[in-house]
Amino acid sequence: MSQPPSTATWKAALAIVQLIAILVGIGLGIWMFQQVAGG
Amino acid sequence: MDAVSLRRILVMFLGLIIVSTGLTLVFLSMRAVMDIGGSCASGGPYVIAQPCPEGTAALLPLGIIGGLIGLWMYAVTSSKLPGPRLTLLAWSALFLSLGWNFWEYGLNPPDGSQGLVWGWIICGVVFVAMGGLPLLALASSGVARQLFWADAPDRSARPPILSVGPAATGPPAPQPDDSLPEALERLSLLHRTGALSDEEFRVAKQRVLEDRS
Repeated sequence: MSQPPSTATWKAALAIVQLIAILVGIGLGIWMFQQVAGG
Repeated sequence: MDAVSLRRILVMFLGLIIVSTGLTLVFLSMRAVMDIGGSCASGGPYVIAQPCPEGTAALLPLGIIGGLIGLWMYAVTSSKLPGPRLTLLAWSALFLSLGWNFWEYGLNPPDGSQGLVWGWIICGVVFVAMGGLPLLALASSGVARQLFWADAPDRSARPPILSVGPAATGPPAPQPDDSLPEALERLSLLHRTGALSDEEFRVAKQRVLEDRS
């Protein structure tokens, strides 16, 4: 039976998820700006 | 991982994407407006001397309102999960990024003229102070830990929820550490506010008196 992830693993995983979200958001913002404002 | 946690992570992820998209849109829109001198107008019945760059009149409010909605989504969900809780850092991210624009354009005016634009530099000082000074709190390891490496909220540490009213199945059990007058006062309050019926109040009062006799 698999062990549940430890608290530290949880935190690290969620930190990575949040980092990805921030990077995706910045990329999306730049893309939207280029689409609408043309650069 | 249960379904609730998975939903929270998803909402947190989407919220943070929306926040950083909003901040990026505000940052870029501000630069576009500063490129044409720092002020513009759009719409309305008047003759416009300096129209806004294409799209900024829509992107700026979209970035602000969307960013606030995303921040709310993120704040509500991240507070119930372990790991980073960056909600408060959005303040610094906003003011430092806009302060950067003020400094950059204040030191290098977009019209190519030499010299400094003091109005923008003063704004830059104010914005960097507003965004940067709160970051000094990160020198405290407790604050830094709470922002970047928080534990999941301890459910057992929550205050007890009073479960009375129509959904309750019986009169509430008095808290064992209440004194007799406090317990009676609490029951009386619940009775007066209608949370306890006459019968429930009578039974609960009886129990309190028996427990403490």
